[in-house]
Amino acid sequence: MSAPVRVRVEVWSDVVCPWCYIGKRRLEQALERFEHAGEVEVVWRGFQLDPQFPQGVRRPVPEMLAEKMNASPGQVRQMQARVTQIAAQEGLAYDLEHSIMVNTIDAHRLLHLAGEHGLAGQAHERLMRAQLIERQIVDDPETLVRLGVEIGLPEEETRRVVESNAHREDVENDFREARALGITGVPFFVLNRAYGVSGAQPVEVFASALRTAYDNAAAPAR
Amino acid sequence: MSTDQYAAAPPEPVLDAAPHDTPAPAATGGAAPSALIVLGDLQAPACTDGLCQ
Repeated sequence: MSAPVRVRVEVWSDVVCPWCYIGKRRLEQALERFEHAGEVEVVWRGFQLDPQFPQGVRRPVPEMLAEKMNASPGQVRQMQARVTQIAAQEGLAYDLEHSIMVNTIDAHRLLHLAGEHGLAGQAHERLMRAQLIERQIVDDPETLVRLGVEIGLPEEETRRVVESNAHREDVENDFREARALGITGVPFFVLNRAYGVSGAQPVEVFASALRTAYDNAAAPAR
Repeated sequence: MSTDQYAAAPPEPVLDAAPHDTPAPAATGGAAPSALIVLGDLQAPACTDGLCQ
């Protein structure tokens, strides 16, 4: 029998967010070191980094960034090189230069389906890897179905969700909750709805936050 | 805004920071509080509005 949950870590994240994957790795490392990890539940929440990005449009990330920031291709390459270097320290071989920006609503709907099957963590991992490392197009329905099946989702149900509008309200609800908590950027980690950790912090910060939340939890969180 | 999206973290905090020794609310998993006690560096790298700082 598993231990009761004493710390619930809710993670607001987007699959196109390079710092989110780095943050995920660092949280995982902190959990590996935490002696009460069995009493910690990680809950994934959706956050669209750019909800206004038109659905159906696909643009190379460097081109999109250069335009958005009025930066030269060289400046964008330099920026991406830096985050790629930091990701590499976490064992993540980013290929941001060839990544494609898409609207992530469909990816988030798939993540909610995965959550229903107890596969949210695996789904986040797979979609982030697809977007940030493998240059896959994470608004392509066939890609989403294939990635869902890869992590163990039933194909028929996955296809039905991907090709419909299912779980859209769940995604919107995640976003509303984020706004209510004052979250404007991701990754963002909320522990027991009491503590917040913003961004891809060092492992030590996650470790300390887990300890603080655990020590101050009056009772199991469910 | 800086053109170095990955290097220059914005100074704007995403939440109101509270002292770390503020008494902690009990863990409930229930309704969202209006504020969180923020731990760590508010300027840690993160992505906002489609840009990653």
